[in-house]
Amino acid sequence: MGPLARFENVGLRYGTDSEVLRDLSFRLDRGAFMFLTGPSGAGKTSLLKLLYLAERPTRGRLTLFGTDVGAAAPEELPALRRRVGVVFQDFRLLDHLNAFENVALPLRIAGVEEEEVAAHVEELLDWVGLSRKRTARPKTLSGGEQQRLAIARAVINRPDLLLCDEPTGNVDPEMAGRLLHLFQELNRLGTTVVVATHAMQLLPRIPAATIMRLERGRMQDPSAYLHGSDDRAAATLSAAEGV
Amino acid sequence: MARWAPRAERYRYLPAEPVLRTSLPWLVALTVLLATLGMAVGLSLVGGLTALGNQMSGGFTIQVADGNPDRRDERSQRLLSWLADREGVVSAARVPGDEMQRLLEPWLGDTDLAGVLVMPAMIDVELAPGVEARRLAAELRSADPDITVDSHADWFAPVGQLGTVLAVLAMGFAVLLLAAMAAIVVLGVRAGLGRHREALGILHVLGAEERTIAGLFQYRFALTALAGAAGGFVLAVLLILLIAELVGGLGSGLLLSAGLSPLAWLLLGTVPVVAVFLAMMTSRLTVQRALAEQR
Ligand SMILES: Nc1ncnc2c1ncn2[C@@H]1O[C@H](COP(=O)(O)OP(=O)(O)OP(=O)(O)O)[C@@H](O)[C@H]1O
Ligand SMILES: [Mg+2]
Repeated sequence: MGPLARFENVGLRYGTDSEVLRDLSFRLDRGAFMFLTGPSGAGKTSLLKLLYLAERPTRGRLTLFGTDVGAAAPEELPALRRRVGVVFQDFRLLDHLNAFENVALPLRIAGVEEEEVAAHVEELLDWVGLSRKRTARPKTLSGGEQQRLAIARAVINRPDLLLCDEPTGNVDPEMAGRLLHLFQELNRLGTTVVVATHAMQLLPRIPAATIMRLERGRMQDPSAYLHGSDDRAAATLSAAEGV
Repeated sequence: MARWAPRAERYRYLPAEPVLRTSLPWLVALTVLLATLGMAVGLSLVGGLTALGNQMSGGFTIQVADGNPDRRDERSQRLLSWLADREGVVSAARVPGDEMQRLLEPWLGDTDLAGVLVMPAMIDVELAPGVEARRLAAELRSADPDITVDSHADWFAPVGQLGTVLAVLAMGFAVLLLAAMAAIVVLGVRAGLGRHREALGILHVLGAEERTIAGLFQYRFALTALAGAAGGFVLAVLLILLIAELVGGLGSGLLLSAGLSPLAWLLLGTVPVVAVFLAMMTSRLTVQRALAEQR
């Protein structure tokens, strides 16, 4: 079983603009917890887009779940996408659906039976503390509630890979801490987690995490980000013990 | 939501839309109404002309030209008695002299022709439907080689051609209308894709299959088209029945009194079915092409 994702000289450009990601070469191990940092415009969101297959590399090779995504047939991609959960910076909840239906959507897309959907969604809404808001529309929820809803939707079908774009962007420090704890919990259960954030103060809270720093589309200091990933057993153990 | 709706509709992947408030069902209704009426007019003209043609062409006229009036009458009599025994001959009668006089008056004035010219004898033969005029005429000619036989079918061949042209025109009219409707469906689907751009983007990232999305649009446009097509067709049928009633009341309509045959009604019935099917396939293909462009 190879790494969950492997980047080999990956480049990405939008249209005819210059490359926003350049010469990325690294591997994302299964069960890893990775922080993606860097200044605004560095390419963090773009890198996540490659991982949730909203974009495909314009150069180099990206292998995800053992599939070369550049060479994969378009019909293969939806199944790969269903193995990835994403928490968007702006949540991207569906406003015509209530909280329950938003969280249920990935299961329904995957064709899960309704009984199972109901049980799973109730359990997860409970877990993120939104049981009493199950029929509320996203628009009527507070920022933090929307965020938790977005996280619930991202993890409902037990993704192999969880991607979070600035998940602590608009919540207070206490909520930020709780969310991090939640990601750690999922990581402990086997989900590979990538968190893109400006918030450098979060990094020390997960000592086992890999830290990758992007600047103008390039990986900075490749040796530094590798810290902690050479001993997966120790990393997983320390992650399990919490912050 | 109906049980037979696709999952994507039952679970509202996209917000429900009040289709009757859009113009599409009305446009489909108008298309089906016009196409059905056009085909009905075409088909009933064809039916009328065919009936007229059958009525007129199922017979022939025999001319017996003979300088000797007695021999002419004798030959005519022989032919008439020969015809009287034949099966399939509805009537065979000599055109009376004064009628021939009347027919020729415009050209020759009211002179007593019998005294001036030796007129040929004319025998009008009407045949039962389906009897082959050509064979009977051949037999007559072998019985009396000097006669001339004019088959009415030869005179009415252009009427049959006119019927074919009208049928093709009616079909072409219907096809053009349906094509215009399909073009409007394409625009409607594209507008829908634009309206739901954000939700579609989210469904895409969540791993929804393109065929699921295409199926959702197909279902919605099929329902919309079904509502429009049903309304347009019912209205068309009511109008056709009303027109038939009015034409029947006039008591004249040689052409339209033939009405629409069961086959013609069946053809008319395909118009709404084709419209719905076309809307379905067009919407599906439009979504598939649009999604393929941006994947
Ligand atoms: N869809 C797009 N089309 C064209 N250019 C884009 C697009 N998305 C991003 N970019 C450009 O790519 C570069 C990287 O953007 P990206 O969103 O990946 O940065 P980021 O690191 O996530 O920034 P932030 O921290 O502000 O979210 C930017 O220069 C941006 O203008
Ligand atoms: Mg970003």
